[in-house]
Amino acid sequence: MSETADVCVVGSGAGGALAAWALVKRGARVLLLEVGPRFVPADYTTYVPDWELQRSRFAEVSAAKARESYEGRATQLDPAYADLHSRTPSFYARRPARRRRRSFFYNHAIGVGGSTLHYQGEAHRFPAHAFRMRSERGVAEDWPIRYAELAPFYARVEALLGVAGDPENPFKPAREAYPYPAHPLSAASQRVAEGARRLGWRLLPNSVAILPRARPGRAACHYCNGCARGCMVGAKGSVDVAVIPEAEATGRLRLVTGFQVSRLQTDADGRAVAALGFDAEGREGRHLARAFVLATGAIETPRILLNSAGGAHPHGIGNAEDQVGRNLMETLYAKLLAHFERPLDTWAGLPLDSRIWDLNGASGEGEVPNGMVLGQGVGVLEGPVGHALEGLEGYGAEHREGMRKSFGAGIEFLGIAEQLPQPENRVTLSQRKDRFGVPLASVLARLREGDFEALAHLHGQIGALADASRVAQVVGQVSAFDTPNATHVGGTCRMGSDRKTSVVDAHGRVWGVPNLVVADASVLVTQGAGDSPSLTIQALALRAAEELAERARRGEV
Amino acid sequence: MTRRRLLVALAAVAASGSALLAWLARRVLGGHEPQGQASETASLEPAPEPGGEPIFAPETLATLLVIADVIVPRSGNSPAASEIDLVPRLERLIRSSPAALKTYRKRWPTLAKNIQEKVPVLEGRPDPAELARLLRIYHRRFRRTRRGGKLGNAFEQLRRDVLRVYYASPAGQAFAGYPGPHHGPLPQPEQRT
Repeated sequence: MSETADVCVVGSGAGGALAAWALVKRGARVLLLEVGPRFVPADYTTYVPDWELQRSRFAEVSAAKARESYEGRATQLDPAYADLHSRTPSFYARRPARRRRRSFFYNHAIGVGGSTLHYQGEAHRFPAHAFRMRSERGVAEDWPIRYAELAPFYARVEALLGVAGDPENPFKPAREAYPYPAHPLSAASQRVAEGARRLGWRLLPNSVAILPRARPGRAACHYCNGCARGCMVGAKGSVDVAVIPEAEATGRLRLVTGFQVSRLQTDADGRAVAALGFDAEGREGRHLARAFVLATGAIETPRILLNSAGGAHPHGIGNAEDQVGRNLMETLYAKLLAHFERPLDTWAGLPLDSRIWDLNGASGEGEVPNGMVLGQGVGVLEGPVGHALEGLEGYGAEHREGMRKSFGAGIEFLGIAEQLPQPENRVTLSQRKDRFGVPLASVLARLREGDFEALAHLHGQIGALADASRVAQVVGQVSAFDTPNATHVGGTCRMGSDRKTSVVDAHGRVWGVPNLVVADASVLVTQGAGDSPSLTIQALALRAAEELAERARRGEV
Repeated sequence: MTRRRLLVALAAVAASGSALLAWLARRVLGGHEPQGQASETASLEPAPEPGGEPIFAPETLATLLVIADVIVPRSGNSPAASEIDLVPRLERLIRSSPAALKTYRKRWPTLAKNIQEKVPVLEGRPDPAELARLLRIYHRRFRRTRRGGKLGNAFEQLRRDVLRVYYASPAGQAFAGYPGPHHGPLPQPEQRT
C-alpha cells in the first residue's frame, strides 16, 4: 500500500497529464499511475536508417498491452457498399475482398505520454456546433457545456503545449492569435490547395502542437515527418515533454510507471478510496487517495469502472443506469493513395500540415449531418519501403522504374467524419481475462446506415479533391468500412446533464461518486465533426481538475 | 547457416558445372564485386540466431537469389536484390516476427521445390521468360483467389519481404532518391534559464 495522496490520477496521456499538472499547480499532492514505461528518444526509431522495418518501443509495448486489454468482435460487412472495400497494391491486394469487418483495432500508445507519443500534433478546437448536435442538427446529443465555456481552457492548453496555427480560419469561432504562427505549407499542401480552390474549398494551415521556434527544453521542428514514431527533439507537444516535466518540477507529483489499475475500491457510501492493481512484477498494489481521476482512455476507463462492481455499485461504478461503455464512437475515415506526376519530396514536412474545413458543418449545410474534415498527408507512402509496397503494383523492371519516377510523389488524401453515437456500440466485459485474472473489455463497434453513407460521402469528396489536384494516378483506397482504425475513439462514459443518459456530469464527475472524475476521451459526447479530439480532451481535463481542486479547497472532497 | 556449410554447398554445386552456381560461388568467395555506386558488401551468411536453423536452406539459396533478382533486378548502376547482403537482411526481418518465421518455415521449402521442378534453377540459368511466367501465376493466384493458395501466399510474402529489405537498405534508398529520415543536423532546444 502506498502513502495517501490528495489525488490519484490513473493514466498519463493527454487527459491524465493535464489533470495532474492542474492539480499540482494548485498545491495538491498527486500520484500519477501509468501502466507503461517512461520512454526516452533513444527508444524511438525516428532516425534509424531502416526505420520502416522497425517499430518504436512504445509501439511494441502498446501492441502487447492491447492484447491484454480488449477483444474486438468482428461484424458482417454490408455488400451494398462493396465499393468501399479497401484495396491497395499489397496489403489489400487480394480479391475477392473480405466479408467481415476486422475486429476493433485500438490504435493507442501505452507509456508516459499515452497516445500523444505517437499523435501527429493536431490541436483542434471542436467547432461550436459540435457541442449542440441535437439542438442544431437533430442528431446525437447536446453537451452539457458550450464552446464558449471551454474556450478559455482551450487557450491555456494551447499556450502550455505551444500550438502553432492561423487564427483566420473562417470555419472556426473567432479567436485570439495562436501562441505561434502557422507552419509553412509543404509543397504537397500547396499543390492540393490548388485542387481545393478549383472545388471552391480552402485548404488552410493546420493547427498543431508543434513548435516552429525553440522554447526552453524543446527544439523547433525540422520537418522530418517522423511525429508518429516519436519526436526526437521535443518539438512536438506530447505531454511527456510539454506537461509532465513542469508538473514534476513542483515537487508534488509522484509518477509510478508499470502499474496497471484493474479496479477502484469504494467505501460503504460509494466513494472511491483506493486504486487496486498490479505492478510490473505482477504484485498486487493498492494506492489510497482522497480523490481519483480516471484517464485511461475510452476502452480502459469503462473496463475499470465495470470491473469495480460491488458494494454500493453492484453493476459497476457509475453504471446504475447501464450507461458505462455505451455510445462508443470510433474514427470514420477514408484514404485515397495516389501519385503526382513528379516528385514533390512528400516525405518532408509536417505529417498533417493542412486541412480543409469546408465540409466541417459549421455552415449547417452538407449532405451528411456528421461533418467532415479533409486533408492530405504522405502516410504509408512516406518511405521507400511503404512506397514500394503500397504505392506501386507488382515487381520487376517496371516496378523499379516506377520507384525511380514516383517516389516522393506519393500522397494520401484523407477524410475523417464524425461517427454519431449509438448506444448499441459499446464496451462490456469479456469472458476472457488478462494474466492477472481481470476480465478484458469486449468491444462491439458496428457501422450503421448513417456511417456507411458518411463513408461513401467521404470517398466521394476525397476522390474529387484528388482529381482536382491533378494526380497522375490513384493506386488505392482504405477506409473504416472494413478496416477499423480507432485512433480517435470516445464516448463510453459520456458527460451530460441527465444521469439516465450519461455517466459523468459537466465537470467529469461520475454520477453518485463525487470524488471520482473521468478526464479522457470517454467523456466526449460527439467527436467534433472530424476534428482531432486531443485538445478537447485536454481542455476538459484541465477544467475538471481545477473544479476538483476548488472543491477540495472548500473541503468538499 | 554457417559460412562453412554454405561454401561446401556452393562449391559442390559449382563443381557440377552450373553457370549460375559458379557465379554464386564467385560472389561468395570474393571473386565478384557488383558494379555501381550504391552496392554493398555481398554476403550470404545469415545473421546468427541462437538456436535458430537457417530459414533458407543451402539447397534453396540459388532459387531464392534468382527470384529476388526478378523482383528487384539491377537497374543502371543500382544493384539487384541479390547484391545487397540480401540473405542476412531477410533472415533478420523474418526472425523479427514469429508469425513470419512460421510462414517461411512452412511455405518456403514448398515454393522453392515447386520452382525447381518447373524451372530448374540448379541446372543452369533458368529461362527468364519461363521463370517470369511462373511467378506471374503465383502473383495472380494470390490476388484473385479468396485464400491465395499455398504457392501464391508464399510468393507474395517473399515479394513483399524482398522489396522491404531492398528499399530499407542504403542502396534501395539511394535508388529511390530518399535522403533518409534524418534531414540535416538536429535543431537544439532553447536553454532553460
